[in-house]
Amino acid sequence: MKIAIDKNIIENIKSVLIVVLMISTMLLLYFFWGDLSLEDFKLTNSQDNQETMDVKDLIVPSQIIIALGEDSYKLASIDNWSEMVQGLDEFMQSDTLLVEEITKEQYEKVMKSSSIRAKFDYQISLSEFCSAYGIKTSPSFNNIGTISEIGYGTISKESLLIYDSKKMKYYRIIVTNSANRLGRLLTSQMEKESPLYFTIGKYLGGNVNNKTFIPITLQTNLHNFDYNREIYSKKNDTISTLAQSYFGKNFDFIRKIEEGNGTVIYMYGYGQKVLIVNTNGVIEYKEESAGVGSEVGYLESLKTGLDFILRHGGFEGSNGSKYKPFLKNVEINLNGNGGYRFTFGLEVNGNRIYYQDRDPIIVEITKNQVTYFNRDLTEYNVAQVEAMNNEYKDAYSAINMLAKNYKYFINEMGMTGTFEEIANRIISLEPGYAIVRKEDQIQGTARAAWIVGFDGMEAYFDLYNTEPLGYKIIK
Amino acid sequence: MRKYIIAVLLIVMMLLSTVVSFATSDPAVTIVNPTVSSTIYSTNLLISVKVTQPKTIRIKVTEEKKVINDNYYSTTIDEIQKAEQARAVGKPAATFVSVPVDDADTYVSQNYLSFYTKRFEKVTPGTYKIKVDTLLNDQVIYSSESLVMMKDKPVVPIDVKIFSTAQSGATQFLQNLLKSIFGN
Repeated sequence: MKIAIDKNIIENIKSVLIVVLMISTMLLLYFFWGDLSLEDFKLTNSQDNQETMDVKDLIVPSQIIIALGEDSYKLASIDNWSEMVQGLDEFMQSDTLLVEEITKEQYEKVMKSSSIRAKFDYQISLSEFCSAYGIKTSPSFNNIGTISEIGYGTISKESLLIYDSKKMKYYRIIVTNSANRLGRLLTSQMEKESPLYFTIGKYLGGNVNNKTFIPITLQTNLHNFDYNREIYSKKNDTISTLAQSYFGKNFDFIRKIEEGNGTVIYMYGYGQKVLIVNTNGVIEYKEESAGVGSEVGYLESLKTGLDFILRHGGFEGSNGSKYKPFLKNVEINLNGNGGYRFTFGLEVNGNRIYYQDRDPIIVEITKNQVTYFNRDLTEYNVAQVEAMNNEYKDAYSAINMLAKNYKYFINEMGMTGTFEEIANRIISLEPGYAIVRKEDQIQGTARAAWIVGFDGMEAYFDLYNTEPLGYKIIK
Repeated sequence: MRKYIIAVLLIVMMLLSTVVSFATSDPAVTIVNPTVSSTIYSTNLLISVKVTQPKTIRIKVTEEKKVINDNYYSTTIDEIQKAEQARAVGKPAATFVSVPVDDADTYVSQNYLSFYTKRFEKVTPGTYKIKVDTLLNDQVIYSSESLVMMKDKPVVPIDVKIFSTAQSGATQFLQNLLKSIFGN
């Protein structure tokens, strides 16, 4: 009897051992064929050094426009955005939220008189916008596509107006609540001492009905500053450290290819994951889509992309030069696979940088997986920027900058028509920093500039003497 | 002798034509904003003058006042124009005075396209004249002007509806439901 029990025990032990061996074999195969290393299981404090950022920090408008009436406007600081969100939240706490489509004329009539509106350069649906900020939503919001502008005007106090530039449609949400907070914000911004803007149409009259705002005079603290592209030296193994942040410390099954021009390529498997470190500092990472899992929404994809960026250098140059990122463009349903392509822009000293060659940070997400990442960050001279931070100068008159460069638009940019016809095609005009360079240029000067946007083109002119700096064709 | 007379006559005609042109406007200078005899419901006034040749211009903004018993009163564009018409046919007309809003500006354009721009804030209601003189050796050779009426922003009457009456909740719900099923 005793022997029989022992045999059973032995058999059980054998079974357990077989199971353990099976699991061990599977794990080992996973380690060898997968991209994991034991380092990945270490408890590290990597989060401590990682930048933290919320998706909400990116869901911000490019402009907050305060209309004073008669085509005169002020631009409120983006610092007022949180107050505007609270105002929208208060306004939307209405028992019923009905949506109706309105005409362009109705929209413009409300927005032309005393009004406040936020303008977005990228696509985001109203439901996702509300979800990001915890604002009350309604099933009827599904009828509204993306929001390009959201605003409130005092001549229709029961309406929240929305413009969808993609579909070229206008909507209003009929609200029964009072917009006390939005009203107070509007009044305070109207009374605030700040530069006055008029539309281009107002300056040029006649048939020019362009609604782009430009100031008569503008004092700015924008000054030229020097930059270097982030270069990863092979000597001190910085490329290797960089690659480890993508593939882990164990480079099993990773091939390293060094091209004649100095470009270093790391490849996992047969190209399932590829990291390209270019000699000009541009990093590209591509990952084959696993094709598993369900499609995830806009905000979740943005969070995945943001987390990935923060894990791989964030928005800070290696010399400690910090940038404030903003969402510049979002492509939805990328290549028809339900993915997203998020393009980020960068700000220094509260002013946007415009790159002639390529956008600094792009991330593509497919089914919550990062499938493409591009990083082309420059390190700027922090001391130079800080030293000039409080020095304000008068920018060259914006309308005369356009007039003086009329021949440049014709001769260099290949545009045709009278000055008024060209001015009518402008879609944006604002001060910023322009980085005009060749693709392989590794250092240079970011110039304080007037940035003139056309449909498909962007031109840069010196902010103080209007000298043409260059232009780019937007594909 | 006849030739001399013709030559003198031609010179006199040319001189006369120059004298006449003193009162005409410069084809290379256009007051773009405000447009002639317009009404602006705002306290902000934007002056925009387009200059299409290298020129020196002087811009003067005045408020036009009606003079009654040595007192100045606000007036309208209509009153000023009617008085001008009456004066032209020798009838008695109201007297007006131009009160400078600011010092006259002199603007030198060195390009073949440029704009003089200036804004006036907190402009009180009234009738204003924008006068632009083209100068040559400090002499006025052309002159043009534009009258504009500044008014307070109109209070939007409560009965003015931009949007038609909102549909009932049930109708709107049904419409939204149909839209979400069949698309827009």
